[in-house]
Amino acid sequence: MIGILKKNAGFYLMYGIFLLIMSVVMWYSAMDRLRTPIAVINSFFMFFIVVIPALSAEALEEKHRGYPFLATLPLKLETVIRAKMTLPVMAVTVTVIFNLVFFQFFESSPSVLADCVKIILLNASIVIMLAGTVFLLMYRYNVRMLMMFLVFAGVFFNFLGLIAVRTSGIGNIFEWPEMVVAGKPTWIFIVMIFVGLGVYHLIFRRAIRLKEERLFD
Amino acid sequence: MDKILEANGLRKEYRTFTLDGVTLEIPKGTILGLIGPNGSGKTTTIRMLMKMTRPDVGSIRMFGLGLDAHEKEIKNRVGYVGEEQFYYQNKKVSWTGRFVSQYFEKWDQEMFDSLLKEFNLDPSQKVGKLSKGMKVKLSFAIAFSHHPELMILDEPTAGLDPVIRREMLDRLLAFRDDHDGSVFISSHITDDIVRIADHVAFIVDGKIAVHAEKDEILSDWKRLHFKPGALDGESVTGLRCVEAHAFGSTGVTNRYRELEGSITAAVSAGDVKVENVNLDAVLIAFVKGGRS
Repeated sequence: MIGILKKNAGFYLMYGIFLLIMSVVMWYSAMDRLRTPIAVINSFFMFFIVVIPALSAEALEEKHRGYPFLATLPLKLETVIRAKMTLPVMAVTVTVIFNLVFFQFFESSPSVLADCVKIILLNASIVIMLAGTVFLLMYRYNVRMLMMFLVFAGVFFNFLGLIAVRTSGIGNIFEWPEMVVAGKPTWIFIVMIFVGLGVYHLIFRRAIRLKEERLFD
Repeated sequence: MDKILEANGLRKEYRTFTLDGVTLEIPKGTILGLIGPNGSGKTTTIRMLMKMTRPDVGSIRMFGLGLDAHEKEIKNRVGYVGEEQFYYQNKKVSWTGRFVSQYFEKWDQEMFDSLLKEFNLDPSQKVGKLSKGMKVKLSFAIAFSHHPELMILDEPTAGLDPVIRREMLDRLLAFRDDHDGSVFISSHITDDIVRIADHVAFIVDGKIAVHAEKDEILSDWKRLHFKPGALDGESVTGLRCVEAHAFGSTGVTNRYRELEGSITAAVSAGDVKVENVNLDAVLIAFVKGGRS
């Protein structure tokens, strides 16, 4: 498992460092005007830190027909997929820790900080489930099709978001997560992390079956 | 004799092709050649042995162990060389060796390095830059470097030049003779199989047509040239690929040992001539003449 982890970790490191630096730059550029919203943006980077490397690694695997090669080794497909799906969990963990430390250090208002922490945890639980879904879709279809789908989905949801902002009367879309977390205790969001991990594990089991069907049937 | 590999009743149904009831076995220290035309099911059979394709029905045992339950242990004892060499093309030969070494329990780095040297493979070269022949050599180097007990090869010599082909076949013979290793090799190049195999199986249209010792096949199968009326009706009916020409007819039989007594007189009179056949002729007889 370590070999597969090492082989794919480079993508996560490269994108992770780049996006975390970008999130810091964004925080500095907007720290006076936006505070909880920046927590949303910062932790939203998690999605890219997880999904882009996963897609890149899988694209490379497909290009070089890596799975047939790995199937010749004394290595179970389950081990390969476990290694690949462990990396997003590690990436999310690092990003959450980074964001928590970052906001702890720079945010002076305790109430704003509390909301930021909840938003980060909420985002982490959502991102981990989304990452699982991306793996499922990658194994069900293929990377190229999924990338095309993600581009369309990105444009569509952007458009949908704009309409929602215009029609709902809420001036800033980033206020929504703030409204969701406001007044709720932090433990709910800690529980959500575990729920996210549970869902991710179920997705992992399904992903193995899906990949086996595509490769071996 | 210990059986290294036993495949029983393997069946796999695809939309346009069905592999049906494939049963094979390889005694320890022997070479089994699987011969068949393109699309006859050789690669599907080998993919099943490597657990790269799941059979719909049937079981596979190697070294006395069930493949499903002992995949990892079995693959540690099997060297595999496929028809296509799947490696990460952007990685170096040395990286590939290091990568696979993590998974084989008995990996011998010294042996790998010496085989690379012997095969003129540059460890710093990217795999994508290697020619097909060199990639096959890399596969052989990897396969031999974890001290396998069984080699499974899927048309490893297809597309190789005669020098490399001979070199690889000699290595397989040495593997059998010096290490008591067993080999399962598929090919549609029958010369390769004649050269190294102890047992031969013919696969035609997804079914095993015959599975026997090579010498037994070669003594059972003969080509008969006969004048009109020299053979009785039953004997002629049993012939395959019968062709008529100006001097009589020619046909191939797989029952020569049965026929031998009844045609002795005709042979002495010069009305029937018996000729040895090669495995190519047997394959053609199966493909053109149907199953026995």
